[in-house]
Amino acid sequence: MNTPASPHFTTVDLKAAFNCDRTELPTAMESVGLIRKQFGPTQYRGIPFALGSAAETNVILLESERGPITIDLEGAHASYLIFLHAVEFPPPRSLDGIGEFEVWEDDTGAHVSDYVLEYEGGATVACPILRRFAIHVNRHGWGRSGFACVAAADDPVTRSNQEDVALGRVPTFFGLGEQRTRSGRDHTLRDGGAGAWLYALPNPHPDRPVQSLCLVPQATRSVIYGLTHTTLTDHPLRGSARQKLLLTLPPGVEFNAIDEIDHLDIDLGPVISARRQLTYDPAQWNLDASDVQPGTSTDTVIVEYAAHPAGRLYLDTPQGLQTYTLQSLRPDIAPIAAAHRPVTVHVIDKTTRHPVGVRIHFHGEAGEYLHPKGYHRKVNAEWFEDHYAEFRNKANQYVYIRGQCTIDLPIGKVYIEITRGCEVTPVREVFEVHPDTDAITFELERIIDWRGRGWVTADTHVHFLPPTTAVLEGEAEDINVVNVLASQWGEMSSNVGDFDGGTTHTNTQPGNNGSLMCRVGSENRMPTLGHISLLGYTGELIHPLSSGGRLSLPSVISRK
Amino acid sequence: MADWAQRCLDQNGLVVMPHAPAPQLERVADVVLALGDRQWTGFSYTFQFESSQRQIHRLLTHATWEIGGSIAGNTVLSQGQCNISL
Repeated sequence: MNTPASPHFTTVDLKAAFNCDRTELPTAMESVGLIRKQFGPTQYRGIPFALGSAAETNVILLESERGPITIDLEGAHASYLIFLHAVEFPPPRSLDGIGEFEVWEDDTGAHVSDYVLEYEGGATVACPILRRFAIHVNRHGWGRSGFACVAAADDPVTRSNQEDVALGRVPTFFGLGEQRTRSGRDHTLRDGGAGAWLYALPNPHPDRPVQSLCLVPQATRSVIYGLTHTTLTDHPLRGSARQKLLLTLPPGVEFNAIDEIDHLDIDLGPVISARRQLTYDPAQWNLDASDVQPGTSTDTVIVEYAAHPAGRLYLDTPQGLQTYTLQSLRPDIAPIAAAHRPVTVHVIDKTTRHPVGVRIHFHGEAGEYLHPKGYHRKVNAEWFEDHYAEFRNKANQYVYIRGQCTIDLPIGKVYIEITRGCEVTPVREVFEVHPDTDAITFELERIIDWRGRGWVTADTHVHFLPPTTAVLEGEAEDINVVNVLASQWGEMSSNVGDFDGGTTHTNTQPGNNGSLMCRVGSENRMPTLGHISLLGYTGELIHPLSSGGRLSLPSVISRK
Repeated sequence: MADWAQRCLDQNGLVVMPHAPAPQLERVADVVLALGDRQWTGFSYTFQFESSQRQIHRLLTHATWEIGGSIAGNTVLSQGQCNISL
């Protein structure tokens, strides 16, 4: 999507100050990575810059031999000046007998240059530019971030593999897809990094017109690609914490194959997701039905984002590009109460008062899923893509907890569902979160006790889960014995390392009297004759895990 | 970082700091500021090596690290991403 740059910035034409062609930059500060092929008007993280053109002087090489360089700012009013720049790489060092080697962190905090603001009337303020803080090298590595500057690259959002497949797109590799978001700093590493850094220099006197800017080099060389300024009062490179809004779609905008909206973007920050709104009926959020599923909206979408408050949201529609301002919302775009209040939720057994493992779900008043800390905003229910302690029942998403979780909740009504198998009365209710709410406790009551009559519940066919997670999920589903089965799928084997032929996994949580356990066995397969589950045996794993031909994969791996 | 470490200590855990950007001053600050109520008076590196089969090719150390002392000029070479140069 071709998202316009933010209108809150004014680019500075540096043509008169450019003194070097990028191709002539010293090796220690050569133009590399993302910026290498970018010239002319462009934008980084939604901030516009007027870069120089190719094949001419197009950067400012700031070095002591060339002396200070002055840029006329024509009395601009600015709260921040944003620089696109990089400092030269430290020279390699050598140590007796070892030869040359690179020391990335050399001279952290070294005085690279001064950016001197000159105000109308003659007053000046010199702002020191320090290595690794306001400016960093063109090539950075993992763990070598700038402290006060950010890589000049957007922060991308990734999808799970099956989502990409459903959308007809080339999936990222598996682990990256599960990360869902990445920093531009890390994302660009495979292409040599961003190549330059954005630094927002705060103007100590934003009320005074800035007549000019004098760039004064010190001992270390640096390169400046671009400059822009703004009157925004909030730091222009600092986005908000995650927030959500509800957007009513204009006619003609369709949901894609995974019920999300494409072609939606914010200039000053990423759109994390734009999912079709789930519509719950509050009157049905009770125990009258065993399962309460939401409806799905035809024209509203929940947009989750982390953007600067002055950001603008753009939606590509058949009628053209629609623009929405995050700060002044319209009837068709409404804020959803931010989930920023951390609340500890306890779930205990009414009789024993001990914490108990449960399956739990939260959503807010707009139907937005709320997940406890450590879990995912989007539960991945696809085959072999997610073995976390989570669960999805049609549209409802859940996590498994050991009697306690901490969750960021919105102020207002929160809808909760807690279940623990078929013999414990579930909870499906709404509670109110206030600005001072710290903790809330729910009690579960067992109304049927077949275990007390000598019966044992078991799930004899579980794959992929780590045994400890299987114990938790078993407790939360009131399953006494979970049999995780090592198996073979073509050339892929699963849970083989979990099998030791002897260990019965359980936990030592209060209230667990040894009646909750997991044992790893195996599911041995013959494509024609069928599969057989071998449970609880000792000694060596029984091979072959699969025999007699190629595996016919179950249909569950196909999304549709 | 200090808050995470303190909470781990409070829960009877052991804190190891494997990845951090150099210079690792926040770690030094954690030690100096007596994280976990440990009263540190200084710290140093110690090298111990014992083998009847192998010999050390080269071991370079120019000084110990001591709080209040000077660490300028020391370089530690390692294969990780956190080579230390102070």
